[in-house]
Amino acid sequence: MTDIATIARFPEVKKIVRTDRQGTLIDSLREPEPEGVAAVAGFVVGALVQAGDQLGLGALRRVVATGPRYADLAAVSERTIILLRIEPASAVVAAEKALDAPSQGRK
Amino acid sequence: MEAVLQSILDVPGVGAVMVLDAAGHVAGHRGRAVYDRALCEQVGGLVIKAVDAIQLQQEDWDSMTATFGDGKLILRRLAGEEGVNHILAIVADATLNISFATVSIRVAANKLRAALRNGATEAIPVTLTPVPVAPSPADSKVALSNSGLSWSRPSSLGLSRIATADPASAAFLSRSAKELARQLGPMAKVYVEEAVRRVSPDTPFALSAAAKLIEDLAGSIEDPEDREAFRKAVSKG
Repeated sequence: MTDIATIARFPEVKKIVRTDRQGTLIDSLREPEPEGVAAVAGFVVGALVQAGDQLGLGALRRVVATGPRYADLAAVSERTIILLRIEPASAVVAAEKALDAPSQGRK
Repeated sequence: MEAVLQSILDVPGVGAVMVLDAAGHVAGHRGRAVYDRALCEQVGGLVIKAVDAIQLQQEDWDSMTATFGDGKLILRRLAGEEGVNHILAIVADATLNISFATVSIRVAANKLRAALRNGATEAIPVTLTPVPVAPSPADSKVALSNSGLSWSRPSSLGLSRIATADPASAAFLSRSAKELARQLGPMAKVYVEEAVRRVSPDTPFALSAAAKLIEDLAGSIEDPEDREAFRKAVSKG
């Protein structure tokens, strides 16, 4: 399992929420309302998975929503969703690498 | 308009391009044969559901990319005329060169935004309808968007059609929506909008109506414990 404390060391990662695919909170860092964020993440992923199924796009892996100030990145695995709030938004690529790094290290 | 969407479809790897209105209906569409309009109507409802939920966390989002094992779903927000928002949705397979596509999408999005600002929404369904056109499915999943309430229009509050008396009242509504989302999910904002209309129908919402609003919203939560938790959470803020 990805260690969210490791990801949280990156200064651009402002908040982290980990949830299961149904939107039930597993753990979080620096997010004052993690349950609400987890529920929304579960719902968004569920809707996009359905859309992806209908479009024949395969398994959902990442969702990145970007605005002028920050980006929200959801890394979707078979059982969990890790949601990162990244600020500034331009750091989203670096954050994705940070997310990938722990799993790569276990291979 | 048709040329704008076609320019995106011409990008290698792109399978379909659609413009969705705030209700998730396809206002314009160009696509390969496999992505016909009926399919896009179905997907449009799901996309708007996701977008409405994302806006609970990020009201001013302007782009979203969902990466799948075999492709991408790319969304750009298109601000239309007052009170109306549209979404540009692009379906691409794994061969898409995202760097190349990003430029084309940005150019196209700017053109579509300009057209929408100029009131071109009425023209889109006519000029962009591909042939053949299948009828919309009766079971399109547009439950949220069918309410007619959209979270798509940017505002400081996110409760886009609600007038508030002051910033404190606006903050209270945002907090109420977030707390309610714990119990009801992303539909919470819709419930809040409807509740505000009931408790403060003729005047901008003010904190003097907060107690009535809390009770109104609490009534939408079935579980007694959850209902009480909601009351406490909103009241203590």
